[in-house]
Amino acid sequence: MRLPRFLAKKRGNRRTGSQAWGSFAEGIFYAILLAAGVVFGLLLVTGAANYAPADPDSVVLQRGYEWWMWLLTLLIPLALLAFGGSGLARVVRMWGKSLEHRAAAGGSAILDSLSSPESDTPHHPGLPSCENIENSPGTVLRYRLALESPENWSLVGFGMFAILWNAVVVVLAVGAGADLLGGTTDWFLIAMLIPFVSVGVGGVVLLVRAVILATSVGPTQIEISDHPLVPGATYDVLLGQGGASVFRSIDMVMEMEESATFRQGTDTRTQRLVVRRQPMAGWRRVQPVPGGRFEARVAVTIPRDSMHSFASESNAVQWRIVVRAIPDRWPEFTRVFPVVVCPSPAATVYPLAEPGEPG
Amino acid sequence: MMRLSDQGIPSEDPRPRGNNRPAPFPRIELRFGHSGRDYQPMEWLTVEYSIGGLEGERLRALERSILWYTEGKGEEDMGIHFFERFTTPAAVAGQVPDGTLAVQLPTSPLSYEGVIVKIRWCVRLRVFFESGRDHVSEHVFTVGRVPPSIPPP
Amino acid sequence: MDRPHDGPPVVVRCNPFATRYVASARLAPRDDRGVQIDLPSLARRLAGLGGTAAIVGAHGTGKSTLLAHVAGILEAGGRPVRRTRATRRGDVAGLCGALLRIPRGGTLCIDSFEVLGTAGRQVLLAMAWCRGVALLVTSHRDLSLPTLVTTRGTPPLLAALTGELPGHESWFGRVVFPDDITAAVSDSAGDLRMAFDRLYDLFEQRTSASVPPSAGPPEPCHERPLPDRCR
Repeated sequence: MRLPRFLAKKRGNRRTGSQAWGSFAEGIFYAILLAAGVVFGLLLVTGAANYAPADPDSVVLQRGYEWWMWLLTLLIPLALLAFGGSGLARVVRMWGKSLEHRAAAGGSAILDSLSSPESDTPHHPGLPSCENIENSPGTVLRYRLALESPENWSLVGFGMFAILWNAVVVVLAVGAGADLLGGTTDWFLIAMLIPFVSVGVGGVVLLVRAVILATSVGPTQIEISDHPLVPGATYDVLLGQGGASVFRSIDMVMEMEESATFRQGTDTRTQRLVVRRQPMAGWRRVQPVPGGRFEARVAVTIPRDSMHSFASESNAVQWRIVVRAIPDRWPEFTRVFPVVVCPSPAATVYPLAEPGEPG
Repeated sequence: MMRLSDQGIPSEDPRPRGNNRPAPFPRIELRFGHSGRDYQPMEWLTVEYSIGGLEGERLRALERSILWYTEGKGEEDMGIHFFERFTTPAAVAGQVPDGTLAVQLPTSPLSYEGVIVKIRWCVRLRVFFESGRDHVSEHVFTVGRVPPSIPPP
Repeated sequence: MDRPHDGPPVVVRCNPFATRYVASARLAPRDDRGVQIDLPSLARRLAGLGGTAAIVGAHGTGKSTLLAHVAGILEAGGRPVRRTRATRRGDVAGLCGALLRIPRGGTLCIDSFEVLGTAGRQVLLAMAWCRGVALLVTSHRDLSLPTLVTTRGTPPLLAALTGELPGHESWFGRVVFPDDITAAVSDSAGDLRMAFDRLYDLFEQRTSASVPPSAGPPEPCHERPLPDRCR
């Protein structure tokens, strides 16, 4: 039985571990909410209640508390009680039932039950970890691949930069404007404003571009039928591309890239080189379904003689699925999804004699 | 698996030799279990070695290791798969001048002739002399049969 | 114990310009004419300057290499030496700590001294003077310290360094030519690290042309397998 992983990520509606542990954890969660509601509510009520001065056996509520105040303050514990209580009741009702039984009882769609995502491959020294990918189940295929550099972060970065920088620009501009209105001209301040405004405008342009990519172009999702990959094997890959605009082209490529980090004086530099590029599929004049997304499923075979993924402190061999798309009227973008390729299993099963015996 | 940092320049005995003789250069010959020096993952690597040319200098210690290292444009990384050190006179005497080594290789990393990253496997023998200096001999072999990568045009 | 091979031998292609062979302190220090530097006499010159001096030169001209070798000579002479590298201004504090740990009469070697900034450098120099510790540093520019050596990247220097690389006799004049050396120095504006980088790429391109890409076992090529290395 697999132990629960409290910090693991969960996507979609599918469970990735033991049903019993999942239900137990779910029950604990709702029980905690229920208990929190009870405790919080009791604290509020007892805190506002006092013994009546004239009659110590009776309790009166504190003066000054209107009915709406009571409604507001008790709202939170009431919500906790309702949520926790109903959730706990559902867990108890569903305990021990199969996925199909739960789905039939709850009316939701039945998804494929997952076999344990634990890898059967032996430990491979020098290979990067697969944990991030194995913790991310897909909705159609087994795993959903993670983006190498999620664009959300670049959006946040551009946004913060644009806001902070332009805040400085505004302060400087207000200062220059006030001087002008006051009859003095601070040429130094005005001269400083020019590069600041240029950078501020550039920041806004970058932010707008990032927002357009994130909203108009839509997310790109890749799911794969199994992971880690093995040379000689074939895998199903599902591409999902959202967005409202038409795409002039979408191309999916499997690449193998070497990267080497070295010290150059006081700098540390990394050189990257794509040494293998295997086209997977390409589409022209693609229109995502309105309100939905463009989906396509392709098969990819890892060549039998492929080098496996490798990672050490300063050097790496990385495999990745690269999606390059050119939207209509918007700039081209590239999204990279790292994968891990293990050594071929055929190479790991070597019928050998013990040392000392004839080889 | 242990990881060692780059060894840097091998040390030479900093103390001047009283008789002004040049330090002896040991001859370390190593024979692999099969002449092609190419192995598969999980295969047993067997080597026989002989250390000669000691000219009466006493050995303080002997280290035997099997490791992979990277070569190319990046800083050199190393991963130790097998390491053995003999420090007592009896233990050293048992491995010098002739000795054998048999170790099962791991599943990875495979030897790889990339463009800016190469992965090499080797047997390394390091002898330490009583005088304080040491000498290392490295013998490359391959694991797996991954074809070399070609630089893009 | 022999077993028959089931394919052609796997080729091990040694690129002599790999970091492993050209990294700082792997090659003997030479002047800009390519002549090997007499390290003991350089150490005597350093002593004549009072022990504190700078090795000055542009990026990739062998300053770190020379620093490492001079430090080795000082250590061989029985002088306590500590080697460090500065990467940013904030390293001053750490370097002060390193100074405190060196006994009087020792030498602190600092690579890239110029990145510490004027104030940081003055603090370290003052501390070193008070403690009786010498400073041997590298810098890209003159820092008003006595100059031990000025390094320059030149074609004769690169040619001489290339001569020390493994298998030189097997590939020089067949894969890499003297004109390539001159062009590499010129293209990298005297930065020998960049020049080695270019020669690495050149070597890979020219030697890989004889190894065709294939999905099967590799074809043998004219390069011999990597020889045993004795260091």
